[in-house]
Formats: sequence, structure tokens, C-alpha cells
Amino acid sequence: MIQFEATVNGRPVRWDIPAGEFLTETLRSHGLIGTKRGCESGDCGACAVLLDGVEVNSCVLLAAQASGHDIVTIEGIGDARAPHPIQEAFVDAGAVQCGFCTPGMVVATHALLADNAAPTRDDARHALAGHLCRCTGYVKCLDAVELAAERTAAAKGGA
Amino acid sequence: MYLDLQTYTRPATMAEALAQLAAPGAAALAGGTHLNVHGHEHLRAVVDLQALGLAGVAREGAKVRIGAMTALTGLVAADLPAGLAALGQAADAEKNRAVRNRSTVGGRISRDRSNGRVATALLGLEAEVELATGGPDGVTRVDLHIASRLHDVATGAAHGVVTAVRVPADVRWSGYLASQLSAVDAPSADVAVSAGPRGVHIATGGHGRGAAGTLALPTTAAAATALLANPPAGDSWRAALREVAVAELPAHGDALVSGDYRRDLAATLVIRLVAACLAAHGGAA
Repeated sequence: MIQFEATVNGRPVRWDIPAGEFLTETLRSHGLIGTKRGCESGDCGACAVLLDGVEVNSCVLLAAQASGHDIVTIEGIGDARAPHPIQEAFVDAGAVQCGFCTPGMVVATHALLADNAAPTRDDARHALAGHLCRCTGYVKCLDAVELAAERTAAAKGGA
Repeated sequence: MYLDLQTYTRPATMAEALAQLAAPGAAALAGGTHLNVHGHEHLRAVVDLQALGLAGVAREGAKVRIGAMTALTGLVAADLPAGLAALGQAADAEKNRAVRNRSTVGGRISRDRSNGRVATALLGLEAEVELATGGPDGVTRVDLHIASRLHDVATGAAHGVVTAVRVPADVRWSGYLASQLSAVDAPSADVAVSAGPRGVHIATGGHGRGAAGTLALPTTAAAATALLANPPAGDSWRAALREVAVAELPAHGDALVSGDYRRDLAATLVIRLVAACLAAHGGAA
């Protein structure tokens, strides 16, 4: 076992973990089950989290590598009681069906809008590449990214 | 998912890293994106290179030095000379953004399975690889041609830790092109071409293992390169280039495609890429 020390969703944590454990398992075993276990090969995006503000696939990241860093999971972006505007946009655009891929897509959208407040459709497509969805056909997901960008811009403009 | 690791270390100096890597079953860990994808059950210790300050892109005289821990998204975003476009194109085509945020330049030329797109681009740009070797008695810097490095990795003879790659800054133009079965697949074949003061260089690659168990390594098509240094008049260079490319390229088949198909595909990609680059840069190699 090794000691994992990081900031997770704004809270400092100190957990004992196996040296060979990947971050998806570490997060899920500590109750953060919004991070999904999917392909476990970095292809589907269901396990995406933010590491120091950058989107990564937690299934191909040893938890030990993330020790000492800042991690944000879907729970740190928003929840049912206080949803983030991106999460609301996914609901309002009809981009959520079974919901398995949604946390990863929301994380990817969060990372995209942090870098690019006014993404084009192609920017959105590029950002969501690597996030597999078997329900929506992706069109609604791209609509959700555009809606989230519009609302974020409007909120900033009105602030 | 777990690996049966006994130790994880994050050394602060290269000397420490090299000493730790001398332990049986130990491997260097860069971005780690490949660790969970293929069988690494044999690993007992990983030595994480993240604290060694190996990331970053900088001009060094007539070269551009790219630190081994530079992430692919960092390479895409770097302010590279326009002639090195192939590097950004290859890096941006690797898998997806989340992987590109972690996958590193050094990692792409250190993998024991397939090297991928960045390796092909580096070969097309005649890159040099900077290695650190040694142990507790000191660290020695060794420079290798990229082709030697890829050969060493493929044959299990690689040694040392990649600290950087260097590419010529005076390349006039370069490009990268690949073909794959779907957007999430590794390329069935890929090509990179560059033109500069030392002539035209063409490299081809493709994933997987050949029928004899050898890697389908990125290959420098020397005869095709020589042909383009003095191309036939008009459009006849296309047919001539296909002929020499098909004659020269290896025919490594694997689970994705047959060897003949990969060779023909690579020759087609070479012609398309050279034509696009010539059109974009005034028709002069």
C-alpha cells in the first residue's frame, strides 16, 4: 500500500491505496461513483475527470501518479441539488438517456469551456471525440455543449 | 483494475531514477496511458518521471528541443516553426483529447508494442533522441538517431531514459497523413514527409506486429526520398514514386490489415501527402 494525498473536489484527502490501482477504482471505492468504469483502455471517456484542470481518463492513470495533484470529479462540478449549468444544458437539450456517458461528457465540456468560451460545432465535436454514447447519436450532446456555452456566456455577460 | 505493483516511486533526480530503474521488473512511467491498455502484468515497480522537469519545448540553435514529458496537447499548442507542422498534425490525431493530455512524446517512442503517429512524424523529420544513461556513479547523455531508438525499442534493446527529442528548425515544410478503419482505431498506415536543406525525407508507419512477430516500424523510404530530390517533369513523379515506394516499403501484416494492403495504402498516402505539401508550398521540394 502507498499513501495517496491529493485535493479531491476541493477537499484534501489522504488514502491508503495499492500501488498498482488506477484512479477510477480509487475514486469509486471512496464513494465517488459518478466516475464510471467503462472500457478501461482510454477509449470511451466514461471515467473522465479533471487533473489540475485538464481532462484525463482516470482508467489509464495510476492513482499514485495523481497524488499531489488537484482532482475534480463529476460530483465536484455539480449534483442534483445544485447542478452546474453544463449539467442543466445536457438535461434541457435531451442529451441524457441512460446517463452512463454523461459524467464524462460533462467533464469534457467543462474542460472545453474553460479553454474556449465560444466553441464552434467542430470544436465541440473535437472535444467530445473519445466519449462514446450508445443512446443519443451525439447530435443532442453537441447541442448541449452549444447550449452550455450560450448560457455560460450569458451568465458572464449579465454578471 | 490493478497492476501487481510492489513499488511506485517518483524520484527527484535523474540519477535516482536510473538507480531505481536498475531493479528487476522496474519500468519508467511517463504519462501512463498505455499501462492499462496492454498486458503489463510482469511489472513490479514503476518509476514515475513527472518530477524530473522533462516537459517543455524550446529553440536550441538550429534545433527545436522537445522535452520527453511534453504532453501531446502541449506539442500541438507549442509555438513550433511552421515547417514542423507534421508534429502537431500527428500529435493531434492520436486517440482523443483526454489521452493526448497525458500521453507524452517520450512515451510514444518508448512503447514495447506500437509506437504510433508521433514516432512516424519524428522519423520523417530526422529527429535525434536524447537519452540519459548511467546510475549512481553519474548520468551520461547519449544522442541517437530516431531510427536507432525505434529499432532498439522494437528489439528489446532500448536502454536509458528518453529526456528529449530534437528536430531541425530549418525544415521548410512537413506534413503527416494516416488512414485507419475508424476514428478510434490506430492507423493501418501513416506517413510523414519533410523538405529542408538536407533534402526530402519520407517515413511510413503502421501499427501491429508483422507475420514474423516483428514490429511494423516506421520506415524511411530512402529511394522515394531520393526520387523526390530530382523528380521527373510534370505529374509523372506520382507513378514513379508509387513504383519505388511499393518496391521499398516493408509488407508487415497483422490483425488489422494484410502486409500487401498496408504497403499499397502507405504508397498511396505518400503520394497524396507529397502532392498536398507541394501544392501548399509552391510545388518546390
